[in-house]
Amino acid sequence: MRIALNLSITASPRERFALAWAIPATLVGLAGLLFVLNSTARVFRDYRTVHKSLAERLEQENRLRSREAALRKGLEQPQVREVLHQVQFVNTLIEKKQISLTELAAKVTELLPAQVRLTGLALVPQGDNLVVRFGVAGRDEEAVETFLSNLEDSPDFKDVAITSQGFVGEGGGSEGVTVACSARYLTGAP
Amino acid sequence: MNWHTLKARLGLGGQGSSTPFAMPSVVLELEPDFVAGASLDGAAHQVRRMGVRELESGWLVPSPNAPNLTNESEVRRAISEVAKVVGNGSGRLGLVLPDGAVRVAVLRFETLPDDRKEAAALVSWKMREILPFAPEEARVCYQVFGREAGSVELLAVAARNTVLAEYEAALESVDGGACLILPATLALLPLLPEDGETSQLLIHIFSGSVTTVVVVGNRLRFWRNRVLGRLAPEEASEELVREVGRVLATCDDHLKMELGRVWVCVRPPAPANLGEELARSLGREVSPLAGGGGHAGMLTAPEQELFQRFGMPFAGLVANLG
Repeated sequence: MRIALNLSITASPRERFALAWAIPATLVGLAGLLFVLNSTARVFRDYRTVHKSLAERLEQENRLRSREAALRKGLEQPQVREVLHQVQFVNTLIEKKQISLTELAAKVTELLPAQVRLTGLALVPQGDNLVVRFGVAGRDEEAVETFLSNLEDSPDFKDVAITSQGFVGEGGGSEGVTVACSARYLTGAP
Repeated sequence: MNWHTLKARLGLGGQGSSTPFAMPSVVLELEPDFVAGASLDGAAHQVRRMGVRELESGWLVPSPNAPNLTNESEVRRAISEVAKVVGNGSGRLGLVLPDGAVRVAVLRFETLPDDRKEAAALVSWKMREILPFAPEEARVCYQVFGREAGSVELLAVAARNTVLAEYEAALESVDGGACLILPATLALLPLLPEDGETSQLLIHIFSGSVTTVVVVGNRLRFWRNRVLGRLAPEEASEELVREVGRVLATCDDHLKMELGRVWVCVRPPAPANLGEELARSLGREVSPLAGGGGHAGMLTAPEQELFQRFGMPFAGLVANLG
């Protein structure tokens, strides 16, 4: 005959293992709490670092803004304004295209007839334009006229204007002609 | 889904029994004459170690409603000595009590509540007539034998809380509370051979008392415990024969059953002529309960001897595992 009864008050599995599981569960809980606290502290430290870095950047940006404002204020002074405009112009030229004096000289040389020689060449900015000032000396008036005609026909120059003309005597009785003129240089213009 | 099975598994029901049987790894039996202990191997169905310490008369007096341990310090010392031999059970300690410390009854109900507490309260109330104390003071366990239409038959065991607490306190030096508490004769029942519907009588003689149990098939039909006291051997034999005779008459008159086999278990073993005298008086064959021998193969020779003298309840607990 099988016996299936028992006078003992058997503890339920929950009661029986409650104490046994309490310690490991507490340890696991504490470990989890420490992990969370550690993570929170680490994240807070990172936040402080990033916040400090951001504050430094903002402060630096403010300093730069103040410096920029001071510079702008300085550039607004009348004595500096002309320099500013020139610088802006040169910067514009530099941004748009590099001007080659060698190329300019070569173009001018092609316009010179055999009896005319170049005595002066200058490149002067006027507003947004480039004006080339020529100084030429020819054997006779006809040769200088040929140069001025070539200059006017050239696609690189426009608005040719004679600023001065003179005659110089040469040995042998013949007279030379000197002309100073200017023209707008189109190649380098915008 | 079988709802009742699920409830039973979850411990919500409990119609089959109250607290279920739990196999201990170490069992201590406390009797008026001795403290016996055994280490059990449930997997191998074997008794591994065995130890016994005899007690002087009067140190332990079984009673259902009075203090049992009259010399608690000596009993505790004996328990400690036995525990040194068999171990402390590592939290799975069993306690076998004297039959005289508990009350056992076979009860019938028309129905039994599903709730285990309600069922235990009903069983306690029904046992009030045989309890020498208030049912509220009892710890009750029960085992349902059969359930038919309008009839639930069960075996109930009750013990006074204060008495159980006294025994459990005595175990504190070993390993605290017990996971199994049973009266000694109940622990012998698994050793009875399963013999169909043949009724079997078990006579358990130990420590100055005799318990007679009638089992039919898988049902306990009758339980009676009587203290014989400290009688001379001749007087004890005569009183024993008279007691068994009364049980037979009860079976005849009230239970209307004819006994098939008669088993006797005497601890420690009595002179050989006790069984012969019983057989002669009863007019039928009386066999010694020896079914536990197969569970003692791991014991040393001295422990085998102790087992033969005291260890049958331990073999019964091992046999109860099936």
